[in-house]
Parts: sequence; structure tokens; C-alpha cells
Amino acid sequence: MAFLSVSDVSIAFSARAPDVLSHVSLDIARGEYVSIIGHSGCGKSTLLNIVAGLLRATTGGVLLEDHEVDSPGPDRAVVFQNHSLLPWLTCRENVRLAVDQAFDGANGHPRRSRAERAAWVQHNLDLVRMGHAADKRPAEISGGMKQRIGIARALAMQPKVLLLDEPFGALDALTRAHLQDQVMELHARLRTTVMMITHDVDEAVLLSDRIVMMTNGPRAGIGEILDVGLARPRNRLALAQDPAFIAARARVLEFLYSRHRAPEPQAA
Amino acid sequence: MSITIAARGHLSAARPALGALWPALVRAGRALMPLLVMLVLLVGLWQLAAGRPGSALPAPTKVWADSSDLIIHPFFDHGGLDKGLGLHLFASLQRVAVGFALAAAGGIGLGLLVGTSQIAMRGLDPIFQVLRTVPPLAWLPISLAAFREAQPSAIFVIFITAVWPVIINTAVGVRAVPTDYRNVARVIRLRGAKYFLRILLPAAAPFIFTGLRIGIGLSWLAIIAAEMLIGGVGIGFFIWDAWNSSNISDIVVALLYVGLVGFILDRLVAFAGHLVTRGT
Repeated sequence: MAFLSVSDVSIAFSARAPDVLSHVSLDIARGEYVSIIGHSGCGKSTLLNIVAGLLRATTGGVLLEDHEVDSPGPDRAVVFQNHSLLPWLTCRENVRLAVDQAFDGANGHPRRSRAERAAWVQHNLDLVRMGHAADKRPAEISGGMKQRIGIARALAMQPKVLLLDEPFGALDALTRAHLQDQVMELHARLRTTVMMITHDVDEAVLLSDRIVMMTNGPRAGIGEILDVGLARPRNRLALAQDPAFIAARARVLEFLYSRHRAPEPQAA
Repeated sequence: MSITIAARGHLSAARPALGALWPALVRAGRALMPLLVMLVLLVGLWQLAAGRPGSALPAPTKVWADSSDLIIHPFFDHGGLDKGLGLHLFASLQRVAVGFALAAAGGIGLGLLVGTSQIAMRGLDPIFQVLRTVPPLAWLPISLAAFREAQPSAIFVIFITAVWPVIINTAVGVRAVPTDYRNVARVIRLRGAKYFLRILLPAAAPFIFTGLRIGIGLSWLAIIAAEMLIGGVGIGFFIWDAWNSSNISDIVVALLYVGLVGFILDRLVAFAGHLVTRGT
């Protein structure tokens, strides 16, 4: 039985509109890193939001360790595209708020004492190398640092699945590469199950065990699933010349730009 | 030119403290200079326009001659209504403090209700939209009829004037809580009172303070007008009393004070908002 199982999920936002996602089924194993890639508007974020419990599927459902997902919760922590840190709290307080909730004894984890929670917050801030800026407010740090705090907040909930919604989309190329390396390192260390939405082909191939390629909406579905099959740990410099990496990349590019090209914007 | 430079150099060499202060003084001077020039120009124009014999309004020199006492001794108290401007202002400020505090508490409460509940919004918002257009002074007769006393009537007029922008801005702020913050709250399962205190209130705070700032300005507008009608100690009545005794110079001085106090009130609320909403 799969660890996380999306079975025959369809969703429409109104009764008259066509389905955004149509009959999507996907099984993810424990510890696996799966990327969902597709053009804008193909419903990949919608799929992530259904797994997160933020949206309800119209038909079909999601099982996590054989329990049905029917509402959001800290066992499926989300790293949002635009970091979504609360600007009135410091970085530490942002992580702390999530930790206080996740470890209050009623949300899946056993209750932890104040001191234990404070230490756990610090541990996670150090994990993303943000211990030094913990007491700054989000407005005082860079976009990459904000996203690291967002990742720390998600990891600190010790989720069963980490959901990344285009986590590096708003960052410049160098910061993005740096954060990708950190996420790879964290994944190797913590063995968290990850589902990541992206539209960056290199990012998908570099980070994932499997890449799920989505067809264009409406009625988007899974077009193809690619097993990346590259050994870990991976190194972006070495991989740049690796034939297996190049082949995987070509396969995804071919899917996205030849077989399922982005729909032309319709003239008004 | 060379002399001033030499003198300055000498000064800063002799007294390093003053030398370090100098750039700050220059900067403050540059910032304030346009304002000072404008003030001198306006007072000059006023003097020219009202300085002729037989002018209906007093010139600045006449205001000073007639009413410098009011400026120099703001806190004299000769009993009854014959008090310094400071005491009149203090009485008005007390009324504003009570009325505005009630408006803030009631306005934030009602705003949260209307912002969070669709039913409350449908039931109350049209009523608010109509009532908020009633001018402050139109409330005075009905509140006098209800309370039969000047003091609570004045306070009610302030409350009813200031409460609408607080309600409306609070409701808008609550409805404008970004979906991202709501989603964060849902993922970490913040609900009920915790959601209210940790997400809703801080997210709406900048809007609430916008409402409070408009409210304090309206309060100050309303109290002056209300006091003209209800009498008693207060800056509004002072102005009306001065008009009745043809002390136009006193009115001019009082107007300046009213303007300055209104400005300070606005800044105080803005400052409080800045402290509370840090960075948001």
C-alpha cells in the first residue's frame, strides 16, 4: 500500500465549469521526492492544495497512511510559493507558532514542554542556517531567507509529507540553486516524503526521484511519469555532463514543449 | 565666505561636540526652512490685508496686542467660564477622550462582527451606510433630548461621529486578511480565539488604525461644533463666547490652538498605529 495515495481525483470550481483536474491518480512511497511539472494553469497547484486539504476534491480522494485527508493539518506541511510568513512576527515567532500548534498534544505529535519546543524551533532554524537572523522580521530579510524560514516552519511540524508549492519560483537563479542544494541535503538527512510543484525542468530532474508531467487544462491529468533514477547524493556540476541527467531533462522538455505545448493565449 | 568657513573650522576644532552637531543643525535647517519662509510670507500677507484701518479682521500685530495674554498664560482660572485656553482645551480633550474611547471600542467590536459574519454584514452594513452620512451636529438635538444633559450629549455626538470610519475600516481589514495567512492558519490548525488573536487582529490592525485616525480627526471636528451649542467649559464654547463679545483676536488665537491640538491628536494615533503594527 502506498504511503500517500491520490485516487481518481477530479475537481471543478463550479458545477457548470469543466473539471480543472480530471481523474488524477498517483501513489507516492515513504521518503520519495516527487515533482509535479506542467504549464501554468494546468492545475498542479490545485492538486497540491487537495493533498494539503485546503481544497476538497469533487470526486475521488487522498489517503495518507490509509487515513482520508479531509482537512488541512500539520502532518502535511506546506511551503507556499510566496513564503507566507506572518509579517508581524519575527522569524523565530513564525516557526514557534507552528511548533506550538503541532506539539500541543492534539495534532498528531505528543505534547512537548515549553523548553523542548523552544529548542526544537532553534534546531530547525539552524537546520536551514537561519539561526543568526531568527529575531528579525520577514520584511528585514531577503527573499531567499524568507523561503528558508518557510521551509524551517514546515519541517518543524515534522510532517509526514512536505508539500512545496513552487518554493523557489520567486527567487533569482543563484539563490534558487543554493536553496535547491539545501533542500536536497535536508531530504537526504531527514528522509521526508516530498511533493513539489515546479515549472523548472532542471529543478525537477535535479531534485526528484520521479517527475509527474501534467497535461494542459481544462480536464488536466497526468500525461507521463518519469523515473529519474540518478544516484544520490547528486551534484549539480557533475550532473550537467551526465548522459542520464541530460536524457531525463530532454524527456521532460520534449513532453512540455513538443507534445503538450502551452496553449496559445486566445485573442479577445 | 572664507571668513565663515575659517570661523567654522575654528569652532569645530575648539569644541568637537558642536562640530559634530553642526551637520545635524544644517539638515534640520534645510528641512524647516521652506516652512518658515511660508509662515513669514503668510503672516506678512495677512498683515498687509488686515492692517488697514477699518479692516473687519484683526492683523497679526493687533492679535498679539489684544490676546497675547491668552498665549502667555494658558492656564489662568478666574472662576466660572473665565479660564485660560489650556483649561478650555483640556475640557474639550476630556470629552473627546471619553467619546473616542467608546467609539474605538464599539467600532472595532462591530467592525469585527460585520467583517466576519456575512449575516451581520447584510443586516447592519446598509444601516451603517445611511447613518454615517448624518452630519455630527444633526445628532445633537436628539442626544440632548435623550440624555437631558450637556456633557453626555457632547460625548454621544463624538461617539456617533467617530464610530463609522472605525467600523467600516475594521470590517474591510478583517475581510482583507490575505488568503495566504488564512491558509497558514488552516495548515497549523489555528482556530477560534487563537486565530482571532494571532492572525485576524494583527492582519487587520493597519486598517483598524486607519479608521481610528479618521475617527480622531472627526471627533475633534465634532466637539468644537457641539460645544458651541451646548456651552460650558470647552474650546468650542470659548470661540462662540469670544464671537458674542466681539473678541475677534481671541478667536484667531483659539483657532490656532484648535489646529495644533488636532494635528497632535492625529499624530498620536498615527504613532500608536506605527508602534502596534510594526513592519506590517
